[in-house]
Amino acid sequence: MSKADNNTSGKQYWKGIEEYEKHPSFEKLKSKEFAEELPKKYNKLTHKEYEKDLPVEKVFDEKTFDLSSDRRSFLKYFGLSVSAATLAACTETPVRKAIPYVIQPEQIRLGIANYYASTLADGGEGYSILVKTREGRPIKIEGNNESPYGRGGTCASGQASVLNLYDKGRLRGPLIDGGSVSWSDLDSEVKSTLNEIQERGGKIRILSNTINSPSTLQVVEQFKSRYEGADVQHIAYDPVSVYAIREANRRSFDREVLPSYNLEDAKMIVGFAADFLGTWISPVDFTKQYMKNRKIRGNETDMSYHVQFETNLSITGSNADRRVTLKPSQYGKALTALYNKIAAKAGVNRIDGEQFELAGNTIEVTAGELWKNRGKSLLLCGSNDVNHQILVNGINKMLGNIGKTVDLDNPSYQKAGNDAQVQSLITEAENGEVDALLILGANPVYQHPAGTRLREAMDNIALTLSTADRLDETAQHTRFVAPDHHFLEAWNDFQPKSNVYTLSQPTISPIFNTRNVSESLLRWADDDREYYEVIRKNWEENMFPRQDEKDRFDFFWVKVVHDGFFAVEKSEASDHEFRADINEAARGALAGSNENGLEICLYEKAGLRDGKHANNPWLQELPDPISKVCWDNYACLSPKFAKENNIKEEDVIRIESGDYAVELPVLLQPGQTYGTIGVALGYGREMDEQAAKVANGIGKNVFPFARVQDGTIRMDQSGIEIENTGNHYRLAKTQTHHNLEGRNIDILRETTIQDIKKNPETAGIEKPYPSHTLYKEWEYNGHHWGMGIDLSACTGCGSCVIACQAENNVPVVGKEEVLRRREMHWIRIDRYYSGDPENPEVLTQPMLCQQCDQAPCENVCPVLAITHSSEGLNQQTYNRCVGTRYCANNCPYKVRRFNWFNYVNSDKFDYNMNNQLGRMALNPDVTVRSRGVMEKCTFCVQTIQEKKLNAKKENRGLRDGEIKTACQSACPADAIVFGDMNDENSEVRKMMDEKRAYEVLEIIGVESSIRYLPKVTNKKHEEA
Amino acid sequence: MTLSTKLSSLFIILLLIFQVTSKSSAGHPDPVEGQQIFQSECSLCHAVGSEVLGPDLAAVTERRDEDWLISFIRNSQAMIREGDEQAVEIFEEYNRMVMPAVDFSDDEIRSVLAYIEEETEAMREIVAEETAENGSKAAPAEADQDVFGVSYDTVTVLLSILLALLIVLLLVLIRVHVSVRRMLWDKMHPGEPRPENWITVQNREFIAPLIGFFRLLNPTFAVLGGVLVVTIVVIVILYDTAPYVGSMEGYTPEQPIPFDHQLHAGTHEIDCQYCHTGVEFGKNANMPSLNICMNCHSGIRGNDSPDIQKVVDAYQNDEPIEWIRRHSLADHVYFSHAQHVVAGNIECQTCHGPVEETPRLGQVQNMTMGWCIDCHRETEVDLSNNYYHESFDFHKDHESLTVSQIGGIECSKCHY
Repeated sequence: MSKADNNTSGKQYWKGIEEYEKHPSFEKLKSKEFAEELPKKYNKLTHKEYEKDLPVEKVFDEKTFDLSSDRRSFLKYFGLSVSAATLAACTETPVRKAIPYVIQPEQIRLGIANYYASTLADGGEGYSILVKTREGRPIKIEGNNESPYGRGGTCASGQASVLNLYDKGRLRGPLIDGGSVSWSDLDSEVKSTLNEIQERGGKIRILSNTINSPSTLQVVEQFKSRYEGADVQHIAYDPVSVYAIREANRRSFDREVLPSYNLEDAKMIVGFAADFLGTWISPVDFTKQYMKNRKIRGNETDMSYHVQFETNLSITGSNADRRVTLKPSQYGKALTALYNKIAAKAGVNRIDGEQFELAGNTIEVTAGELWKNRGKSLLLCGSNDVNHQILVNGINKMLGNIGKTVDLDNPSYQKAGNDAQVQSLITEAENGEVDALLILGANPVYQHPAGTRLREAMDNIALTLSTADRLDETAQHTRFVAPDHHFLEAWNDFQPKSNVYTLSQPTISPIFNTRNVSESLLRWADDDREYYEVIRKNWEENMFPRQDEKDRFDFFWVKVVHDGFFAVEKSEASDHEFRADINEAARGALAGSNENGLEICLYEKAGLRDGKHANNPWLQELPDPISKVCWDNYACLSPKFAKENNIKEEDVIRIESGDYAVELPVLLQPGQTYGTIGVALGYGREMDEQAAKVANGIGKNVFPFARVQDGTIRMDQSGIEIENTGNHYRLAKTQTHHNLEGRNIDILRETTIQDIKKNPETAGIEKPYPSHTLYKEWEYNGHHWGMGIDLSACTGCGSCVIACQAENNVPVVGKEEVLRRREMHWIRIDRYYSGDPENPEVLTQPMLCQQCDQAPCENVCPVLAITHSSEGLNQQTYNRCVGTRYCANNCPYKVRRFNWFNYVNSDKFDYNMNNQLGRMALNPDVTVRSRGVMEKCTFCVQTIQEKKLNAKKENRGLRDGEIKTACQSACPADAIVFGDMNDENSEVRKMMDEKRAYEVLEIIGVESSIRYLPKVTNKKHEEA
Repeated sequence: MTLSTKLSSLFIILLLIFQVTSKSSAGHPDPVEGQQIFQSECSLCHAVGSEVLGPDLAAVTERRDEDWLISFIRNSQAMIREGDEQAVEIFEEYNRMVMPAVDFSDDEIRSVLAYIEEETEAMREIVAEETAENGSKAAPAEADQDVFGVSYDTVTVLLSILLALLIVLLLVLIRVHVSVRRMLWDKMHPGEPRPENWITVQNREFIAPLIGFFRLLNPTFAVLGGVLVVTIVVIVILYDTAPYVGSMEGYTPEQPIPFDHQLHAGTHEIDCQYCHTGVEFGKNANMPSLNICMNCHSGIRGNDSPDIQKVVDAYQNDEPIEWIRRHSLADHVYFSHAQHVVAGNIECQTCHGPVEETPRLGQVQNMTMGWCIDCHRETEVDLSNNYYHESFDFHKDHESLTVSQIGGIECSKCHY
């Protein structure tokens, strides 16, 4: 290890196992001028194994590249091309039309975006949003800062939801037996069948994902009463369930609710297999709360302490101060041990259970810290085992957290699935007892471990109906399909928490002949009202009386439609008596701890989640925040385990459990618990061919590996058999793609709160080199745009990546092109590991164009396509660029992206941009780049220009915070701050003036406009 | 203004003064009083020199006799009822619009007529002046393009004549030369028939050096040199013209409805932004939606004009009118109307030409990037806008700043 490799923090960082182990393939490409693969004939580095038939390379076959020709044919080609060009130039300029509205809607001004308050709801999860529309088309999702629900944060999946609207795989209208019909035909068929069932008193089952819309629930009730006489039951189910929490709370506190967790007041947070910053229940809300005690400025020393126990390396685990790995089968033992340690301190009876401890006395230390922070601590558990959750309740109760950080009096309705009811429904269906099965939006055939059983049973049900927006695994097998609107096309209301009501409103007229699912239920219940009327009436009767601000309902309605939410007073959170039998729970938990061979632990990826939006190319191409792999799921194995079993990265292994088996490529995932396999859900879709051009055939479905035990769905399984098939499969890993050219110096800085306490001035970080420059310094008399990024706040969730993609028309390039290192994201999140590969520390760093003052890219452009602006931006001018790629070569941060193809018009890139419908999501203010052009982050210059003009129009100065880049406004942790560095009072100036703020690669003297704040962690456990 | 126009206008003014004074000395019509009456009572519907609601009153005293006018003005409806032919004709022509009766004395009406006469004269004078001005302007405009005081056209004609003379002279000289040579040959070789190449043989001493020069030249170099010269010429031409390729300057397509900007923006003085509503707010000036047209055209049907009927039909059938777009910037250019109209205080006419004087509007400027840049280099920023006070600290040192000085010609101001 040379000296230059040493970081200022004294740590050695590595981005992947191949770098850690100095794998020859990595070393070879590391120092290459252009690491991207060139067309194969010209690239001697090309691997044999992927010299196979790659679709994109068909463009460049051998013949095309054989440019030798004799004089005659040269003249022929020359003559032909010249005359063709001449002829082409002679054509008349096409006549363009300017077609105005007949009656221009009052609120639409051409070229100016309108924002509508709405709510993102995916199942029960979501947050308040603002929908940016242009000329009547929604094009971007922004957070709603004023709403208590989400508080302005967004997630990757929410940012990408606008693209689902313009998915050409959506159904065009209702279907009966696969044939198109009119809505009236469908309604009469459905109603006559339902009437018949009602007459004979049959069973009607409505299966949906979590519904927390008060009006929809009302409609469901209305439907039930319409078919009185029949046995009508509504069953909610969540693919990734937290039913055990509600059940445990029923047994412990006699309240079957999902509590609201209060992370803001928690000084000590223990996450137990709960990825609450990434995927668990309400990650956006949790991230906002969590970050309140994590961002350290100046001499602040007050910071929360976070310990994470988990199997797979999750976003939450990667951000924890201390992370411990354990197998799913050890959860019960660990929780019991933790209970007993705290019980000892509390003087409560301990429960039976063997002595259990994890590496580094973690349980002991954690118990101590929890006890020290009684009433200000929080234990969150993601296990869906009721016994585990009762133990967690017991611990939180002993710590006095009930009524403080665990709020049972203001419950959350974000997950309302009842695993037991779903299970009994499947049994009923198999017994042939169900007469009608109405599936509202859910996809149980794919998303339930017993999905195949349900599918088979569905053949015997008289009426099967799905309201899926496409022919998914379930809708392909139902007799009727009554496609629902996309949420951006429909009215709806929600009650995500007991004290918050939100509305969502249509932002575009329905694109296809679809119908709101609630309206469908109304029709089948012989009610001709529009769903909008139902919502209004419901709000008039139930919400309006709960406020006294507006005296007339119309005024109140206008206000809630404008705001998008309506919040009422919270009930006072109180302590509750613990009634569950803790010993029985412990016995149950330990009995379930069956350490039996290899274990599989299923997880959700932050982008794709449970796979509902698998056909969204943005989400497919979003690199996983941890593994940095896109376009696939894979089997994560710990490097040590893989080595011992002679398995190498990208080997395809066969994973078998009972009668289900899949073959998946292996990824050596640092931090994966030894003896476990982590596999992501949501892949391996088998939808109709037209419905899922993107999703089908990617990865493997692992829902069948989940098990149902004691009435709950568990996302783990033991006794897994694996076998190396000897095949190989390439994974599109992006992390090692953009190397900062061996300059491993001073990219990252991190420190601990303990160091800050000891040495507030430097916090143990020394500035490595003084900075000098030979170039003339720029003078910025007006604005000087800059950005501050707090590495402590960045969780790596990826919502900024998708927001940037949506805002700046960044194309999707597909797996083959990602393998060639040609992904186009303007902002990437670099993930660095350090320490032990079995349980590394993780640091994520958003990397985007640093808008250097002395920019290396500017000097090398032969055609002046990159120029420096008087406001400090490196301006990339697409229409001037000739594509020499010198700039990308010279960029020390490797943030420039080259358009290898014309992604917008090519059939080979069949994603969102090559069809009329998908192109509706494009931002009309940003040029769509063509082939052969270099592009990069512009600091959202379109927004800068827009807001500057707004200020001029209103005859005022620009306000700080008025301009928000797409990445900034998307960030749920508020890690990114953008503004004018010349404005002394601006937030960004304050961030830049922080003592610890630093530039990446400060030594090379490019004077970037982005300052990073070092990652601060709390190493309490290392304190003597 | 030339001496002759000055003299003529002086003459007219003197004549007017004489007329006015002679009339007022008679104690009867007073144009000043007439003006007051006209402005308070008549100007709502009438004007001199243009049609408002009623007919144009210019030279009305020359068209009709005074008594008829007086009785018509006092009570036109009475005359129409009586069946006066002229009165009925006017009434029908102007959509049976009733002109209210007035209670004026004959003298007062005469005063009004005197005022109208005066206005008519003044108008004629302006027209005469304009014509004279245009005439006098044309001359120096031509005189601008001269060579040592002689205009280009004259020089061209003279040069052409000179060239023709020279060619004729050359032909004559060649003819003379050949005749002399033939005579010489015949004299030196009496009786011999002239060989076919006699003239070449004879002329060797004259032509040989010329042929020799070309023979010495390497043909490859000669061809390459020729190609080089042609290439350079082509490149220079391309370089000069390339920016204008695709420029739609002067593009005035046939529109589905021949909308007349002169009538709307000129004659009726309708504000541009009454129809182009977006111009102050965003990038698009926007084509007016049909409901804006119908604000006026629900009442104004212009003698059942078929074009207005098209507007009405389109509105009633909910079918938008497909106008042909005249201005179309490239997709990679972000042009904001609001930036120019609100922040820049630029008149519409700066880029779109004299809209109010042009019946059929086309693209007036070439709208190339060079044209944009030129304007940005010269145009001064409106520094009174608070934005500059609050966001820029260097405006204090400058009396004025051009757009380019605050970064207005940087790439990312328009291309992103």
